[in-house]
Amino acid sequence: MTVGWREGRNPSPAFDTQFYLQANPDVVEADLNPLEHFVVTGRSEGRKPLSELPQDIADSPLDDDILRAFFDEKYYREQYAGHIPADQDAFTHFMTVGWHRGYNPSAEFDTQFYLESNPDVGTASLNPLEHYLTSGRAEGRAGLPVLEGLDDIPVLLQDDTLARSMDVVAADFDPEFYRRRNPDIKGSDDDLFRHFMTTGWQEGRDPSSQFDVSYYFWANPDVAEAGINPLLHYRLHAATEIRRSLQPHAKERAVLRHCRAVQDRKPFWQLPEREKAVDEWYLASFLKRDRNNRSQNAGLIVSISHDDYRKVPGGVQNCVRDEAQSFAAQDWTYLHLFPSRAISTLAALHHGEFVASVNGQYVGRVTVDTLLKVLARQHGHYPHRHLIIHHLMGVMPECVPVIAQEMQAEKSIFWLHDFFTICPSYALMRNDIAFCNAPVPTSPACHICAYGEERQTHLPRIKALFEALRPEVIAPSRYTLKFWQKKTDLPVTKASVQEHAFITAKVPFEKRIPDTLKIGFIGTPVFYKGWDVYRELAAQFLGDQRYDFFYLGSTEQDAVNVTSLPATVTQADRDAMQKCIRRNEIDVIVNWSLYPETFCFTAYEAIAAGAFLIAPKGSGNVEDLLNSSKEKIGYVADDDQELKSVFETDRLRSLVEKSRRTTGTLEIRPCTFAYLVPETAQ
Amino acid sequence: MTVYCFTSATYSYLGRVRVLAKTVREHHPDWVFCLCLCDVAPPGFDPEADRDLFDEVVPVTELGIPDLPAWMFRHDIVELSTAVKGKMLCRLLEKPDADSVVYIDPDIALFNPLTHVVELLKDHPVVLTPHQLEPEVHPQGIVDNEIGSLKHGIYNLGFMAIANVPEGRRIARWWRDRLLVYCRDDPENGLFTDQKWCDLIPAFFENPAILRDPGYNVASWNLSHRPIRIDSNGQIFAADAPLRFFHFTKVDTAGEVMLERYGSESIALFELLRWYREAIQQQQPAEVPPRYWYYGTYENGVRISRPERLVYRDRKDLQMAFPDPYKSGPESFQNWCSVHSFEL
Repeated sequence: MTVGWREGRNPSPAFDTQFYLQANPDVVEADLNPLEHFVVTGRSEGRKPLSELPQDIADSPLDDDILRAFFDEKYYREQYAGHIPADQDAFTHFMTVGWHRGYNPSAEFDTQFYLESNPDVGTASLNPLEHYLTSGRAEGRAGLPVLEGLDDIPVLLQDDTLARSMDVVAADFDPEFYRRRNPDIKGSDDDLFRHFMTTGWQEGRDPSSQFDVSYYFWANPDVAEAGINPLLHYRLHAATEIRRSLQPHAKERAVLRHCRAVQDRKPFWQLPEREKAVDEWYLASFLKRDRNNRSQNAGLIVSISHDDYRKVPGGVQNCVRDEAQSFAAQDWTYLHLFPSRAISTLAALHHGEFVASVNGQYVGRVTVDTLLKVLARQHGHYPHRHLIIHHLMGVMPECVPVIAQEMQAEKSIFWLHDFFTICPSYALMRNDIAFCNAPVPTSPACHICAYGEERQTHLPRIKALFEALRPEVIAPSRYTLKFWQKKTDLPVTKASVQEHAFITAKVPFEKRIPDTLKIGFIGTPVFYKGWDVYRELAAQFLGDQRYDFFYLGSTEQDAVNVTSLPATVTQADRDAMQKCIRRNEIDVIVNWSLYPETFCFTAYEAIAAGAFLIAPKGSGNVEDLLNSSKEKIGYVADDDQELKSVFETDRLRSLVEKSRRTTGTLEIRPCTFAYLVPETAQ
Repeated sequence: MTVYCFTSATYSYLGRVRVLAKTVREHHPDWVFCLCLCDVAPPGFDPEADRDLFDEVVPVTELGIPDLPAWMFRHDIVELSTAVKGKMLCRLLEKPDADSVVYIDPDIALFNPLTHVVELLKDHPVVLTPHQLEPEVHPQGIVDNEIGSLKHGIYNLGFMAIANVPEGRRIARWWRDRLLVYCRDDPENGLFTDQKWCDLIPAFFENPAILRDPGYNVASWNLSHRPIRIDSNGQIFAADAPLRFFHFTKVDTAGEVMLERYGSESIALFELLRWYREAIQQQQPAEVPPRYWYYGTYENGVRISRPERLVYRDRKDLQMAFPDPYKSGPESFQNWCSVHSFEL
């Protein structure tokens, strides 16, 4: 940059210092560094960095045409007569089969020589002619033992041919995407494109949502090793080789990479060891104090679920909280138990410790032995006693019938909040990526599933529990009960449906449908709730004036073309989500569970708030809800493709216009309290 | 009468062998499963650990191969593991109760019973599975798969079944004899271990069965015509036939890239891969060091190089001079190699 150019030295084979100075006397006169001048202004003014190129090469884009320029069909057919089918294009033959056999494309290029003198090219299975033209020549590699006739070939992919490379992949670069993804890069669309073509791809930046640079290098280690611009490589090779711009099933494979056999997963929480188990007196004193504090004693509820409903947010936890408060308010004692180790399976035999609370007041670690001894002495204190099982995850099921027996439970209620009684994969998601429909446990699918081995021991233990307990089973939806009865033969005393919530005070939704529809996703933004499908949908419609995409929830989401709107549902603000939908005038909610929902609160929230609902086939309670509605409050799409098609065409607008949506009040039933004491619950 | 099933491997593949054995047991509990072991246990490993899983373990030293050290030395790990297959096959066919013998590669797992094989063996002396069952369309498929088969063999010898009938025994003896001399990874000279030989079977022997059901021997080289899917009843399919066995040739990144190239239509393929990777990892004993192979090193633990094996294979004078080439020390072949390293 200081001395070299004055001595006439070239910075690279792509720039001829002396030629540039001779061709541009104004640069000499101004005493400018020729390379700097070329980069800053010369290039955009159409000045050339090298002496004039042969016309047929200089003007053709970097694609097959350039390679064809160095392919001599007559020579090729003569040399390899009898090896090339007469009806096949000779050039295509060379590009697919010929070079593998060491055939030369012309007398000017020796394939075998090139491969032998450049073993890295052979190892990476690269087409030697193409390697020579794209990078080999720039690196000073020879195409022939004695090279003649190729001296004037431009060094492709260097600055002078950047423009032609850009021509080849121009349609593959999305400046809007690039700008949004790379806020550190400023400039015009062309600047961004240049950035990608020079350094961006080397830094792993993607040129559009349709090309994944990291994936391309992973799937094509030959390209990574050769240091070739992946987008350019893709454009040049995709026609004749199997090269993909995006990883097939990328979302699912990302989940699979982290999917381990369920029995080998570590506990995601456990009560600290230092917290020792309470004794019988301590636990009994909580029950006694609770009785003493009440004027009336309606009875005792022992309730089991998988975690601490007082602290952990979620649908089942809300159900437990609602019923706990209702029971307590009506002078029942509510003893809640959850396992001291949070695992995704049933607890192993002799590992059944619980953590207890009484009417929301924390008691501590309780061994099964202590619990049974205390319960055995309580039945005389309570006029009624019921056992409620909300969930068995982390629980040792063998102790549950003994609890019922020792407390002399009048009723044992078992909630089907999900399908944990059918498989440890409670949502029936095989390998966490696809709904499995609960096949027989000996099926090949169960054999390869991360839950399959555990299911072999899980099912007999569940069955033993049901045989000993014969509970009254409650499903939160018709769909759930029907599916459960189809898939199990567990003995029960009674089976019924009680929905967790219902919509009242419905009034027709009257609002002009805006030109731009507001689309929302509510609920947990995770793979199995369809968050990735929604993200992809939003990214696909980036810049489409017909739609604005939102995420409504308690966290900020970083997704292309999705605006986050804060909404946190708490005990004190149960309507927060509905209010957020109404306040922001969200027109459509995409509710895209990948498994059948047993009862989907978010779907009810969306409908109560007057939003149009789109759900996939197989979404259980949600599909059932939409199909049974006469008001066309939503639409059930067959799959991801149909979802996209509904957005692509104007079908969505038409569906929303035809819908006779209503708004209303979402009334929540206090779960088992409503079941056991229906008259009071009303 | 009994079906004997065997595989051949070294300790570094023990995890795979165990997975194969378990899946064979699951689908054919009446078969006798044997392992031909081309290795010696590493320190700390208890060979009794698999007593319940394998009915019989036959070390290479018990196959009755003459001049064994010199013979073994002429083979690398893949060549040796395949060279013993003929010997082991003949040994099992000599069992008085052997009705048939089925060979399965250690990197295979069964997903459904091999019903068609059992049926075909009633009328045929041998059952072979071709790498591909139909022509490729894509140019790269032609290069990778069709030309690949022309180079390495039409039939995949990850699987072979032989009926204990005169023609079956004739095939086994012929194959055994060829493998004892010419089990080489040398495609340029028309040889690819035990596999390329079997291209000759339909010409040399009567009535071979070519199993054309797409559920057998599914692998990256035929996935382009056999998409994997799982139905709502939990059955796994390859091209609309229940998947019988899958050949997990490579499970590293390179293997996944090849599977993805031809089989990425369905995510179910990657579920298979997830399961297999986890299963072999769980089954591989921790006592076996990575890349362990007893016959891969000289007596003093130095790894034997490919050129060293080749020069020994090609020079009868060296074979005569060093009947046990694994030895270390002043008069050893190892020493000869270091003196003549420029010739290698």
